[in-house]
Amino acid sequence: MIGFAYLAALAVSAGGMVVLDWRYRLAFFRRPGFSALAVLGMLVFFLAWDVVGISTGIFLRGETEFMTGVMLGPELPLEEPVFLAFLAYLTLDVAGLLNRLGRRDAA
Amino acid sequence: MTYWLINLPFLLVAAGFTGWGALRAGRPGLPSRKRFWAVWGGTTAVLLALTAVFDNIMIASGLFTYSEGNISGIRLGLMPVEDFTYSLAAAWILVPLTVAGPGRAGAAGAEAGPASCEEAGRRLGISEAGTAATERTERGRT
Repeated sequence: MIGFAYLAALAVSAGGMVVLDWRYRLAFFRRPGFSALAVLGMLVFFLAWDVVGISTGIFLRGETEFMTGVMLGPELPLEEPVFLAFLAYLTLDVAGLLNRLGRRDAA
Repeated sequence: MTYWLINLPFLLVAAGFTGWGALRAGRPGLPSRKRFWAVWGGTTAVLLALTAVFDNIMIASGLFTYSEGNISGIRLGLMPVEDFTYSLAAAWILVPLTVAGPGRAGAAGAEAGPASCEEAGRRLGISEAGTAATERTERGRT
């Protein structure tokens, strides 16, 4: 069970993001199609970056019991794309929130 | 091959998105350039702060590590400063797309901001009045 700790932490964090998104209509609850494309595109960009980092021997998977151990490639655990998608979603939410504050000032 | 070297092309692409967004900002139906940079700077700052906290937690948990020879060795706690570049790229790409990306003019209809007034004015062919109203609102804001 402890192997799911990282995924669970990401899920809880993402859950909080969804609540904020829903309450203030920041990203997916405002422009679902755009947000999906943005997260997907950012994920591909990050994964390409990861692959370069892994193939040049810079990034190494850590020795930890907090991950499932499922590997998508050398040094690339299942959790990595989940985290990267989360980072992209977080960015959309923060940008959406600040953009929303800007609109309120303008009103 | 160092961590900084592989980051450079990815950061340049991200900076390209930011330049593109900054050029688009201020066009009819899009937020002002001032607001673009405000959201851009704010999002960058928030992400860097979150990265400083959570990247350290993640490295302390042993989720990932780095080969010592390839990183600059400058660390903030456990975190190599190079790790900030992922957050920078996310902000520098996604803020321009969110604030000044395509489809914004259509989305502006849901807003009651000056940008949508101007957009509506242009559509109705009363761009003079719409622009004047927008300028008044813009002045009132600052």
